[in-house]
Amino acid sequence: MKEENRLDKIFKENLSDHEIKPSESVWDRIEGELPQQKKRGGGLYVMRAATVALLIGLSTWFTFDPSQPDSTLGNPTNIGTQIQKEKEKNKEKEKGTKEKSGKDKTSEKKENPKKETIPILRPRVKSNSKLLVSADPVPVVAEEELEDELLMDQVALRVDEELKPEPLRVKVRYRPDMAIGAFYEEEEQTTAEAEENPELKERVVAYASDQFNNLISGKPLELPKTEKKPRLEVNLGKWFNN
Amino acid sequence: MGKLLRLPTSDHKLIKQCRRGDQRAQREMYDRFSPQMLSVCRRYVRTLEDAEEVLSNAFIKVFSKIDQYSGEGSLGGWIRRIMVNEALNFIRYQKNLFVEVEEENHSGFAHQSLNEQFNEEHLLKLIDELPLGYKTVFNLYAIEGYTHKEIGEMLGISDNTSKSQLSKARKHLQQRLGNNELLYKEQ
Repeated sequence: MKEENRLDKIFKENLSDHEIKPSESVWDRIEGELPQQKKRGGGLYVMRAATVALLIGLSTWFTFDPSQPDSTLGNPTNIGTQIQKEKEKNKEKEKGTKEKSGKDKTSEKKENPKKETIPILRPRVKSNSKLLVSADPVPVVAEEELEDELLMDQVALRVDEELKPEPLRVKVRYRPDMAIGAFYEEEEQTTAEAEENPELKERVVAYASDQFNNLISGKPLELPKTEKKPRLEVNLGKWFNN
Repeated sequence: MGKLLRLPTSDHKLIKQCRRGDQRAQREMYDRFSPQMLSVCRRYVRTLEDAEEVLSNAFIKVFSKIDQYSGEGSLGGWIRRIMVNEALNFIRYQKNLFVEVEEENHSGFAHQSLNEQFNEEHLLKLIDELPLGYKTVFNLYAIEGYTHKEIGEMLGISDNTSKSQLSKARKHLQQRLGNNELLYKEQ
């Protein structure tokens, strides 16, 4: 039997139950080195991996429209420079930037996760093609339809990014001068023409709605059918059926 | 996760769950024992950082060897043994890296009140001051409760060396605590 030393006892009694709280990093390190979970733990891992694979598969399926020989995810850079050049040529003011950026964001928001940029709706032949749309009630397409399509895409996109499942709200203003703008140098002329032609508004709204739909569903965009011949012809054939 | 009031799992059940690799159970076991075990590790090494390193290495061993726990002796005791072994490994590893220079701290603690002297942190500090050999043997013998024979085996030294290291450790500590105070110590 061991003789109990007084000194030893002091230390033993006071230090046996002593506690020091470890920092969180300790557990993190342990967790990282733990042996693999067995049995049903393993099954869970397989399920998760399968779900991710499925989502990736879905997203690629939605991204590429097999009916197009030339995928809509074409050469954004080329288009970009073309439009850039056009901009430089034209001296028109850039009133529509607000709407433009508003529209840009909503479509870009959709496009970004796909990691390639699809240029925004540019049916105009001449630069600051800010074809913006719609009159004051903002009926940009049947929002119910929009929601369904969006949901599909969102499932796919969740792999890349967390998007809130809200329907896209596109707020736009009808700018008749912009709608016709490219065709006339002076603003008065364009406004005048717009006022003369009340049907124009409806046509513009309809056109924009259609194109927006196309944009979302990944179909190619279409140039508007204009009565007048555009002054400048630029080859955007890849992008538009005209 | 509405698990605010969760009764602690019994040792037996906890072990069973850990054997299955149940992460939640592993975390519970860790939470339950790690503070005390960190203190154990701390006594053997010189810094808290080193102690945490020993702690994590040891827990990894605990979870991978949980199958081997026979149920003999308490779970805490089994875990503690793993801690001590890991601490010794660490010391051996450190020793191989560089030569330790021990500095003796002669600050006077002798005249502190009894309460202050037997305060946990204070005692820990005294142990900290000991040269490595004295410290290790003292820990193993006086606090962990190993015999000189066992210590000899663990450290690769003879029984006698263990005994002499122990008495030197005690002498050191007594100086720090002050002989007078020790005589008047109350149980």
